[in-house]
Parts: sequence; C-alpha cells; structure tokens
Amino acid sequence: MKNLLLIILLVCFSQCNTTVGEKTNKQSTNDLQKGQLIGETLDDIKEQEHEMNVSLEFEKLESHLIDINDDGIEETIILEKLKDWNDPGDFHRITVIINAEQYSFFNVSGWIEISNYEIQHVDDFLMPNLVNSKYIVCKKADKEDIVLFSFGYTYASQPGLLSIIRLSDEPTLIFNKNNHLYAFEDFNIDGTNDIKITNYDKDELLHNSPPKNYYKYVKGWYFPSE
Amino acid sequence: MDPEVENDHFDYSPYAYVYNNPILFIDPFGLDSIAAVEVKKAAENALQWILDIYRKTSAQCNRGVSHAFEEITGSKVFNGMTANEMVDYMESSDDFVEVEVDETQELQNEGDIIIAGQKVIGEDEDGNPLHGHVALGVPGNEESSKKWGGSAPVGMDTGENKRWSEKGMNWSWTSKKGVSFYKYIGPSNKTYNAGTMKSVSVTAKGPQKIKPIVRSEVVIR
Repeated sequence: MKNLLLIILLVCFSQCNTTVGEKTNKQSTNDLQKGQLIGETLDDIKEQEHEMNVSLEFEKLESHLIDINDDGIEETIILEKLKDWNDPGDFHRITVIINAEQYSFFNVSGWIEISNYEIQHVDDFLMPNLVNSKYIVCKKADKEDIVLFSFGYTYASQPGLLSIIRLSDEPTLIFNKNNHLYAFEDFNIDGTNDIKITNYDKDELLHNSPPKNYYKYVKGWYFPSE
Repeated sequence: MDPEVENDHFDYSPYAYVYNNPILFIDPFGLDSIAAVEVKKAAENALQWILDIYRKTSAQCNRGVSHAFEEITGSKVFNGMTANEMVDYMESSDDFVEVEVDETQELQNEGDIIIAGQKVIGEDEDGNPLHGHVALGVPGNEESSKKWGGSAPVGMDTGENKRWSEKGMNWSWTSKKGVSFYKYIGPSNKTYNAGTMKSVSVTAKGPQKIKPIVRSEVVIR
C-alpha cells in the first residue's frame, strides 16, 4: 500500500513538472500580449519575424524566487534570452509569475549584464539586491513595494534603456527611458525612494550641470517632480 | 617576391602574400591591397588613441572617426565636429556620395572609406540633449544580424560604451533604419587611393576630385 502511494505521488510530481515545462516551451510571441512590450511594439516584432522569416524563440537564462507581496509565498522571476541571436542583449524577456498569472516584458533590443558602466553614478547600487543576479536588481522602493531595475544595451550615442518594473500583484512597467540612473533615494522625504536620471556619463558631467529633475515614485508610478 | 615591394608596404615582408591575411584580402596579380590595409590600420590606431586619452565608456565616436579619417587621407576636415555636424558635412559635400548598406562591405574590403552616420537632434522630454552617431566602415566579413535583416557591415566604433576597431554595425545601431552610409571620393594628400588595390600619391588641391577607379581598371593594369 505504501509503495502504491509512493508511486502515485511520484507520478503526480512528474506530471506537475511536465506541465510547467510545457508551458515554458510553448511560450511564443503570442504570450507577449499578456505583458507589456518594451522598445518595439508587438506588431513590429511580428513584422520583423515575417521579414526575416524567423520566429523568435527564447531560452531560460535565470530564474529567481522572491516574495513580492509579502504573503509568505515566493513568486518567480524568469529571465530569458532570444535563441540563436547574434545581436546585442544578454536577455530579452522578463517574466513574473504571481498568483498563477504570467506577466512578460519584452525588449528585442536587449537588456544586459550589469557592469560598472550602468551604475557609474550610483555607488553600491548592487547592494543590497533582493535577488542573486548579475542581470537585474530588485530593491525596496518603500515599506510595501519592490522595484526591479534592468539596463538596456547602449546603442549609438544615447545611454541604454533604464527599465523599472514595479513588482506587485500586477507587475507594471513604471519607467522606461534612455537614461543613466543617477540616484535612487528618498529626495522628498516621504518614505519612498525616488530616482534621478541623466544623459551624461561621468566625464561629461565634469562639463555639464548635474541633473535637476528627478522622478517621484507615486502609487507605483514615477512622475517628473514639479 | 612581391613586385610592389618598392612602394609602400610598411612592415610587411615582400615575401608575404596579402599581408598574411588571405581571408581578408585577395591579390590575384601579386600587386597590392594597400588601401584596405590602411583603413584597417587607421581604425586600430584611432581606437588605441581614444583608449589612451579618454575613459573607456565616454562617447567619442566623432573623435575616433575623425582621427582615422585624417590618418588615411591627411584631411583634418572633421576635427572639432560633432557627429551631427559630420553627417551634415557628408550630406552636403561633393567629396562624399551616399551608398546603399548592401554594398558597403564590398566597398570597404576594396579599401574605400565608408563612414556610417545618423543625425539625431533635439532634446528628450526631460530636456536632455540627444546626440548623433558615426562609425567608420572597415574591411572584414559581414556579421549575421536578424535585426539588420540578415547581416551588417563591420565598423570601428568609439562611441558611448563602445571601444572596438572591427565589429558588426548591429552593435552600433539597433537597426539600419535611419543610418546613412557615405563613401569618400574626395582628394587625399597621402598615399591612399580609394577603390584600388594599388597605392598612388595624390595631392589635395581645394575641391578637386579624383575620378573613382573601378576594380576592373586595376585588374587590367
């Protein structure tokens, strides 16, 4: 009887794993509609696929467990890169799975592994990081909210994309611009961290003024300060 | 032995075939591939110059291209120009003609000077200035790039967080849309001669142009 129960449990366990695996394998551009697209629209991607006669396929790079909504249950963050891709970007899709729902954020131009360049203005930005990753940084924005930072590849002469996703019951892209992160602090002393951005690197800042404007974090969205 | 040994062969042995690089160069008549080699060397020298002077990540695309261009042609015309100003100049000057992206790598391998550029003006919504970008085309093999529609020519880039003398231009621009390619057809006061496999001396005299020499003329010779 014990053996029979053990076999049934094993079969159930393997079925669960298979289901998760199948879901992952079935992910295609159609799944991108569930989340928000970054950088280029879904139509553009479909058009590109048609022009290039390829379908965009993904392979998993990293996955992380983190309790986003403080309910004692860990949610999953998955980073994926495009398969057989010879263009820039270390990863191209961020997926957050929470309450059995999947939210995907896609960037065909690519996010990259964080180097000193991306965080040149912010000392010790990588510490603390709520996930053990070299690609993304998750930090508390205030007592309740966690935000995820990812950095895009630097094309031409503009800084790469600075993408910030608010992790919550409904993960949302709250900031997505070609800027350097200049600071992540509570500037208006309201208990919530805000960000400052700049287009200048350290050399250029020697000849230009530091950024005056910053973005306030209000109900999960960053707004320009007045 | 290379019959052109008396001409400018720099540091290469007269017994060496196509500068020890048969993948990049061909020389069926045992003559020369000096123009392509000069562009390649100028790109490497410009990169080293930028690395010696500036931080590894600062935006210096204009200075890198200007340095290489001066080394190849002797012209200081780009010195002090921003990337946007360089694009403006190439757009209006009789010394440059625009070419199609699909033909650039072949031209680069023949030793033509190709400068890729994109003009970007204005400010973003936060009042930050936007900048144009330039890169120098170099001899080599095109790199595969789905975002560029199959392949991208290779170039030297010393722009923001970019320091390389040869890499696919898909690493410089996210797509080829908006990027223009300009071929230099102007005078040179150095031993460079675009479009040929043979070096000749030309002295710059104002706006005087050199008739572009096609490859077949060189082969017939």
